[in-house]
Amino acid sequence: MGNLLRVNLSAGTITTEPLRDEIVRKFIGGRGLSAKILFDELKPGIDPLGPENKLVIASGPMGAIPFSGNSRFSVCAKSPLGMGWGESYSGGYMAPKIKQSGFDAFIIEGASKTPVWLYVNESKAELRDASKYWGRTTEETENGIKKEIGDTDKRQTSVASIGPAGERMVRYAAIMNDLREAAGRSGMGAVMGSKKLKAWGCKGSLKVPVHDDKKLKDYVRRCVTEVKKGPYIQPLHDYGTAGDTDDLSASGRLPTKNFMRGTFEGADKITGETIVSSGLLTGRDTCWACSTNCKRVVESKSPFHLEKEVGGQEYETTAAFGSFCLNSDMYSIAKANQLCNLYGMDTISTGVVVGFAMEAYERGILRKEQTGGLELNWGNPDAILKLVELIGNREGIGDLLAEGVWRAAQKLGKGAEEFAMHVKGREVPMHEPRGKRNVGLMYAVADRGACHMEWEHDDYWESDTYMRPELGLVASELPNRTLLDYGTSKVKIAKVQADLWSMCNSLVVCVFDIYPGGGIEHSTLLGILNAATGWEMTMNEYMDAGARAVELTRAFNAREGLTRNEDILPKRLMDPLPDGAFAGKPFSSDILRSMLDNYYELRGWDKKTGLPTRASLHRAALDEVADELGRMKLLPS
Amino acid sequence: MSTVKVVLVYLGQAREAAGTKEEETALQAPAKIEQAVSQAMAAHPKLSELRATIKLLINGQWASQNADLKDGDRVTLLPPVGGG
Repeated sequence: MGNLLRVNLSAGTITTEPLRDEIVRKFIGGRGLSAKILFDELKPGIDPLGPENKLVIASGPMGAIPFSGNSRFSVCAKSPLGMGWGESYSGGYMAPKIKQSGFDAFIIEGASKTPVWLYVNESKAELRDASKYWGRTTEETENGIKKEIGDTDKRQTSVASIGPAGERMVRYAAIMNDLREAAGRSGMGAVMGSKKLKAWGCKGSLKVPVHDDKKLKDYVRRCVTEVKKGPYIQPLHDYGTAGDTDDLSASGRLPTKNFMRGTFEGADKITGETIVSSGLLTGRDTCWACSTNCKRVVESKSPFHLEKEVGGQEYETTAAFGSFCLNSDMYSIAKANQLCNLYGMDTISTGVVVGFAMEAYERGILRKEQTGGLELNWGNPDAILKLVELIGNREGIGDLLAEGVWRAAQKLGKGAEEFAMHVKGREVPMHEPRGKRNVGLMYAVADRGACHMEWEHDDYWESDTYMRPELGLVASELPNRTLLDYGTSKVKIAKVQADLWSMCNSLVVCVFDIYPGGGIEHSTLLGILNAATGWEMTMNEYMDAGARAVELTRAFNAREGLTRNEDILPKRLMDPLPDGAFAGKPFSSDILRSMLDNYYELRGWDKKTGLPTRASLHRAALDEVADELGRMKLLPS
Repeated sequence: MSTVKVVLVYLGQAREAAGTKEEETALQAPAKIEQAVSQAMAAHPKLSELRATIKLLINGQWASQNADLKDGDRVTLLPPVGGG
């Protein structure tokens, strides 16, 4: 059906392996395929920054088919930031280039002794010396590589690279592609750095075979119509993801001051509409084939130099360097975003780390002599920007903070663990579970650690508007769906959506364009998948494939020793907020316990341990995984 | 006949539909929040498409459909806010 490219950096060898149709139909691509490869090929307990770890970069079976949202690729490995499974996604122009260069996925293994970059060009691949790029920013590296191969047209060539942060193995280092797109979360850039793989570049225009071109065109046309109906699409175009910033504050759910508050008086100054009205926004950009144009182009000469090529801030970045640090200076947020892009760092983790450091400074746990004289006061934009650079260079206090809040808090002691906002080692994103119960459940159960993208948030499910009987979401059977409800209805919605979004991550499509926030229906995606492959997959099979990937990543974490004990929330997120519309309403341990029990039950997992069972793995057609867990005595009796 | 003056605040898609971020409106006393919403829908018909999914706040606190309004209240119309 396609090909895998295996690159062994220790041996300097490159081989091509056929990808069997039955593997693709079962595991699809992206998340599912990567989980299959990494479960089979990684030994539990390995050092994520050692040569034993492998990086899987993947497209999906619909790759290079032009429709809105079909521009993502995945990067998975054991995470150096979290406690086990790591995954990350990025947009831009790389995903179709992976397919058009002749492959479905790259498996990167071993480690090189010297810096190298991987060049993939129409079914051929080679490793090239990257010494001259080592120490360079992602922008310098990408531009240098494009110059080296004589191609600067992003429609022809796409380059992904790490910056100084990845080289220095900052645990939340990102991989940047097309200058402004980030596979940011889980520290995939640090894994690249540990292998001395500075970059990869894909060039090609190979035609991807399609089973039924006429049917495919019909479904793609349907996408064009549906995406315009998505309620989130026009605001996304106009104001970007940051357009929600003031709305979240107004509803008491904007993470503020390291999750101490839910409202921020400066929200209007940093929100997406202000980015537009102030003139900071100079253009809108898009990913390959996408009509939504949610990407921001910002440009400025003062108070900070901002380059239009390096990207504008999205919502997570706006909140992380804004309300989270009590910073209402929009320009400094834009600068922090661009610094992170150039150093190659996840903006969510970096912002949470900065907020953590500010609270530690306020409490006297971090002192001025430890910060190199830097006054880490709340809302100090200069301190934020300096700290970002110190982290990117692992310099001074930046070396400790480059470890992430979980490890930094352990080293600092003195109660710092209490305000280290992470789940499974990964920093908590910018959504407030005390005003969205299902987001709390998501943070707790996500195998990659705290994640806001496992399923659509609670707001969409209060009315009947977005319920879909064909997906198992029947309004009359699922009462009590308000933001603060946490009973079986809400958990059932979470489970169904988790399977659907897991499938999106295996198809590697952008959920912004997909139901419910985007308009493209899953039945349309399924139609495209079948037309492209010649399969006759049913909606049940489609959802089962999503659920299979969830089982696999849970099994991966089970081998790493993770259980229900790690499906938790930071204590602060369980205490009531002092302000806003949700003041005084805690996310109590009883609520979390109840939600976890219901979630495990729906998945057929063991309630005591949170682990998959032989029955749940059998239902997912993963008997070989059950056998492996059985041999390791990890199957609940 | 006395009136109650309130400020309608439109967020997210509601702001798009109304074409403004906020506006003052006068309601016949005694005023209920449902009156304010109906008046908003009449003034901005596109808002009606969002009616089923909109949540309401009065002065930053969640409000029921039949909540009372008083002079100076700020009524926020909040459509779904997702992840991202």
